[in-house]
Amino acid sequence: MEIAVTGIGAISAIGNDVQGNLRSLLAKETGIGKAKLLSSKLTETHLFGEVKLSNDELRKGLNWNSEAVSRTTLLSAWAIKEAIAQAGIVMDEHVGLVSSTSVGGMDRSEGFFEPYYTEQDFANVMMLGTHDCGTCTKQAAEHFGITAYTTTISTACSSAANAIAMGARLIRQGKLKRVIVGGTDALCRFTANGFNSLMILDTEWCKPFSANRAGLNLGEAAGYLVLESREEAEARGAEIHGLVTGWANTNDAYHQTASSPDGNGAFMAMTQALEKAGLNSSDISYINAHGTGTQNNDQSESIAIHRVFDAQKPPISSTKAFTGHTLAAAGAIEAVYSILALKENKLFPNLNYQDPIAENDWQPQLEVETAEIKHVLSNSFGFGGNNSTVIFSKT
Amino acid sequence: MYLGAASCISFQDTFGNENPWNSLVAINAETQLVQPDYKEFVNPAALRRMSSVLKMGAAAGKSCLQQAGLENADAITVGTGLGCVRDTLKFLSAVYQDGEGGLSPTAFIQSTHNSIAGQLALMLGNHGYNMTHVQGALSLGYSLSDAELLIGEGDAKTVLVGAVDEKTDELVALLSKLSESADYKMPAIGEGGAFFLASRDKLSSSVAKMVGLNLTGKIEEEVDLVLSNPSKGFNYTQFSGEHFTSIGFGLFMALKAFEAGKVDNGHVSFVHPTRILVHHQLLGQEMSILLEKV
Repeated sequence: MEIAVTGIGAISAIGNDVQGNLRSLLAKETGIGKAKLLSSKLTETHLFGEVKLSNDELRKGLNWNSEAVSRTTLLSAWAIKEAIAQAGIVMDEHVGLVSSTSVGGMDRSEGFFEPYYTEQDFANVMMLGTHDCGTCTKQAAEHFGITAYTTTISTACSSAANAIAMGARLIRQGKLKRVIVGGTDALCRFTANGFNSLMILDTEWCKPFSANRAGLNLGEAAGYLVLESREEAEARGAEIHGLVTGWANTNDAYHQTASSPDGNGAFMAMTQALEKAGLNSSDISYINAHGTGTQNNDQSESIAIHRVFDAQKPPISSTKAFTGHTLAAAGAIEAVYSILALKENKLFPNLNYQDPIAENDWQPQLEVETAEIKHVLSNSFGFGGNNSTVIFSKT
Repeated sequence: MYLGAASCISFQDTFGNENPWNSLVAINAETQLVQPDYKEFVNPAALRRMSSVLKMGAAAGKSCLQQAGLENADAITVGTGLGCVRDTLKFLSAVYQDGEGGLSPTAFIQSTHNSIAGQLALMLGNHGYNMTHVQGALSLGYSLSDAELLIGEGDAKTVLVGAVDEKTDELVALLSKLSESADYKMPAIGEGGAFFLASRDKLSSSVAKMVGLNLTGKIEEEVDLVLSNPSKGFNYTQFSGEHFTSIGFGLFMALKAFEAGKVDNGHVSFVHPTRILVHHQLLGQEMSILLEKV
């Protein structure tokens, strides 16, 4: 059974919808800069890929009446709305939601934690009601009247890629007719300080796959796809934007946060996804890399790509320098970009690249370029050794 | 999908106990976990840094595989409602108390929801599918469903499925304030970790077949024993405390009920059950698992 993508939705630092994201990608305009909405001391020293809409603007656009909702949920609802409108699906008992997030409603919880930890003040305790990841997804599901299969995957920065793969399996095995898959994460002090404590934040624009890269920029985003079987999509006359043809999740089993020097987990994820898709590495037209801009990731991913593609590497780029690393949402907005690459026959550039990594016999795609794109391979790697690859193909 | 080898750390004497039905004791707010000697499962240097949720995951996961007589499983799926609470709160308090500077990353690294499953993969050298579902009281249910999908797809023959949640004093204090404000009668909070070996084929360790999984409500079928909170049947959460994955304890007890045969312990009595229903309802979420003895 072929898995069709019939709707896509995205909100990130480079656009409030899919078209906005595409425009910025084609114009080589980054969304990373000084944060205006995030409340953190780190905004003075660091750059962020912040979504330009405030919570009030998001709520208004969504007709979301209650204030008891996290930014994480608002971002997800925003992108889901776009995806289901495009897919033109009716919410019934055959529609499920596989969402993903790394820290759930933490952005709103921090409104409680600040007075609580500084003054032992419990006044805002009700804000914790939207804290857990499951509640974020449940609220979004309820907003759209989704009553069937609804779960949240949380595997750090590979989360959304795993949600997409799970959705594909649900369709393949006839558990659901249609499933909305993707991920969301809002900027918050917790993750900003977490990545800062790991000393992997660049204070300037991140430089994926550049020898002088100095870390990542954090971002926030949400991205969702509507998946259904090709048969089902064609039967109802829906436009098919691309197919999900391959996926794999493997574990590096090397270190809790670092990737292995030989890129084993990433190598296995790419290899198994190609196998699932029934493709050879030479069939891939473009790799949308994880490419965070940290020393460790880009080196390990480069080695893994070399092991899979050897001398026949397709164009490769990381779009993290546009959006920042949006954690659980990264695999979702990059899935949207992969679908756009297929639809528009465009290669998206890797911004801020300066010097080649000595061991690499390739350099990333640096300009927007038109090319015949048949299959896009998208990587997402997370803490806990979690490595995922999803392959998108033209219909 | 078959279920067999199972390992559970809880308020009861469940770890490594062949018949936990005969040793159930009442719990109260002071009840502590009955913990195994973690040094048997984790090296002592690593143990010092580990929170309760990580220790439970490591010990229950490893011992479940041992009981199944397997070196490894093809995949790991873990359900957790709140994940790594201790390390999350520890890092948050440091963020606010140290003014967003000079923070140690250890708690942050260990706060990630998938550090339970990730750590197990690391300890077992498991390169397979490694998933974490965080969906409140349905977290174990979706992990079981994920395992079923993997098996159905032909991607795995054996899956290590886990359910883990921890409690800390601070969490209980926060939950009571939250419950008070929301006018919700908070149940006695528990914690625990349970792992199950799910398999495509019937193994020598298989105990039951999962013949029903409803992630939105009840299963209305004739059965010999119902383990449920709070309605009819045996209310297992009286003995585990309530938490998002307390149904892990319920599922463990159900598997042990098939093996125990005859039980009359003053709380419940049953004789050689062949069909058992495990049900859990919490904060607007409800799920059921139907098991048949093999």
